[in-house]
Amino acid sequence: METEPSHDPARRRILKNVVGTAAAAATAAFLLQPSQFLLRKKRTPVRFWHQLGGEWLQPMESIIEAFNRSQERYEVIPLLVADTEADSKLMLSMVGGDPPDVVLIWTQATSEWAESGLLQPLDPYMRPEEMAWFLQNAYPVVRKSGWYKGRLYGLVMGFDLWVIYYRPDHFRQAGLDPDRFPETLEELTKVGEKLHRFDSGGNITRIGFLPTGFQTFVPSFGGGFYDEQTGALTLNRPENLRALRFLAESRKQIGFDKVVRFESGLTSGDGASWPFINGSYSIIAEGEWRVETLRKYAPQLEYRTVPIPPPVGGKRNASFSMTNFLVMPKGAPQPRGAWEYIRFWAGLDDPARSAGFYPILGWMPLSPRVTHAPAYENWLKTAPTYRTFLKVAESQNIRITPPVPYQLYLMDQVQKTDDLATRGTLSPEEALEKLEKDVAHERQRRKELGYAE
Amino acid sequence: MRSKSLKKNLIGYAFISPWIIGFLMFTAGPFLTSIYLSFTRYNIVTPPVWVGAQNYKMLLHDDPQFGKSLWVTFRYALVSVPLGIITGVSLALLLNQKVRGISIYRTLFFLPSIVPTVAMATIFIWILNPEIGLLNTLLHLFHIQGPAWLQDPAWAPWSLVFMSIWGVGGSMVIYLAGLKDIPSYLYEAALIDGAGALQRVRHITLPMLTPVIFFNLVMGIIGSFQYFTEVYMMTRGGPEDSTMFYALYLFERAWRYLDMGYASALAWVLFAVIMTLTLLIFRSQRRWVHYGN
Repeated sequence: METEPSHDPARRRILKNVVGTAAAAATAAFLLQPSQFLLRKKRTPVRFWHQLGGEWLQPMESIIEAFNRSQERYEVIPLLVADTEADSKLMLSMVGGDPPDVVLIWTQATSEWAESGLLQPLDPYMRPEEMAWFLQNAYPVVRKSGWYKGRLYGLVMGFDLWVIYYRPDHFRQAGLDPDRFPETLEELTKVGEKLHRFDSGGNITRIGFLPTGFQTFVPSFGGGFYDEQTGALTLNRPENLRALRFLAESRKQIGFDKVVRFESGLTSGDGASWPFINGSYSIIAEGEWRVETLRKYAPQLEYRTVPIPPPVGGKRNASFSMTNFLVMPKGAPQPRGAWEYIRFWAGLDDPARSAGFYPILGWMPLSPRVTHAPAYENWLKTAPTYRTFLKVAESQNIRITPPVPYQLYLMDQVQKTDDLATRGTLSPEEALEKLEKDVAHERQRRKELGYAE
Repeated sequence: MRSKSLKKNLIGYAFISPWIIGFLMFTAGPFLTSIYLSFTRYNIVTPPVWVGAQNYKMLLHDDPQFGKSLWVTFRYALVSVPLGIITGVSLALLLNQKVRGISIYRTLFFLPSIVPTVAMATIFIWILNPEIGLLNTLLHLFHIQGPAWLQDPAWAPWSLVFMSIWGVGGSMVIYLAGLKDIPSYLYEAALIDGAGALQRVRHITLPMLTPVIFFNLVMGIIGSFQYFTEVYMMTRGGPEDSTMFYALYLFERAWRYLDMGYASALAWVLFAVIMTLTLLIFRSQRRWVHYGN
């Protein structure tokens, strides 16, 4: 039997009343309860550019969400920028008169950009107590980074340090005791030689230990490219020469061409395909981000971390440091909002809050105070090898990119010097002399053109 | 009558005005501005400061990298342009034969030239890998240990020359069109006179093809002196500056070292070099380019 649709006027009236009341209630609720949408519309947008794509995007967005939830005044609007075009995009935005308010930069050029008028100092926005806390509590490397001519142009937001990662299983296979790690770089080189493996044709199948990177190892020799006290460049000094000789000699011993061929046959160095995981290296100097890589992609792998052992007469707990900076472009429309975001993320006002942010990115925190917060302590329990980095971070033997107004040129030349010496094209002495000469020439050139020296 | 013609012209200009405006704003404007900038100290953010001819003086007398990068570029052009012409003409001659499935062969040889440069560079990074690259794997079959290609300063520039052959399909099609334009009666007359295949190529095909070769020579030289994307993607000028091409050095000065004034001067010197070479080639054409009439 089919049911006829109701035509009863009383029922229809009741139904109309119910629907009408519900609609009115919903409208009233929407208008009276301030929705997230309406709240956001009232807030001032703070435009933030960063380069954290891929697996970093979600953690980055969660930090932004945390800031936005905490704010009634500002709202951070992020923009992911490809790292290949990040610098030029920033410059062009400034030329076009429409810069973002805050930028996370990787390029080690805060001094160069500050001198060029790209950045504005952050210290005018810091409250006195924030500056005092920063100078008192930040790690030494953080305290000295980002300054140029007495002004702070970039606040460190994560910094890289290099320590030794090693595989105890390889030690045991070679009859070595993994609990007795070499005390000096010279001893480490000898242990590394015992761990090298070659095929019948003499080609490398595993590198025991091969020190790589002039700037990575130069601090262990007590060297560096800049005197922090006098502000003078120290490119061709005996410690630097000793470091370069050590690197060139190590490379020569195993054979430069052999290493090139071996390394070019390895998969890309990122994520799960980092060659340390598949055993292509027994001992390697690498940065703190690898702890998170190993935790994610090789949780069962047995490995340990130790600070780079110094050469005889060298410096303990030494490393070079590369830093991420939060900067404010000159002409940023919302500098106060930008600073609110910077201090929130850095945890200048509340280290315990930012203790939750660093682990999700796997980054080194701004201050040891952050590491004492429960959120950070809990994370450290899951990544105990990270403690080596925190220990090294407290050291005074960390070197940074010299704060000169030609930073990129200088570090490009340092890289070329490394290449020339380790390839054997020039002797370490000649390579350092060339470095000194080329940089002096560039400085003279800048002087003649009227740029800052 | 005159006002009618003016009105007609105005309508025409109105139709092409988007292009004219775009050209003035994005080509002619920057082109002329860079002349001024080349006489200034300019870091892109702060206003330019006049320094006279200082940039030019410095790059011509006091910049070793300028000479090095010019030589790297010149050497590349010197080898890759003739090599591209020889390969292109040879391929066009082969693909001008009346054999079965010739259009498929033509398509196959042309296809690589439409692959985007960035994709091509990525592919060649793998092909030229010293350990697991296709090229060294093939050489290994003949018990030859191939060089480290892009990672060896002695081989890196030649690797790029080798790579340039990959895109020869584009010019090959132009040569092929040129071959089709050669009147068949010339070959018939040569055959009657008893000319062999090689003689026909030497005395008919190549001379008749010279206008097309001339065009490709000019375009090849201009392209070589502006060579950038491949090295930016693959080597960044290394190892040991062996692939530091002029355009890459200019880019580094401009965008990395924020020396736009100097980079503008470099750009105008490059323009002068390309113009001089092009004029020389144009002047030389009377001696070797044969037009049908």
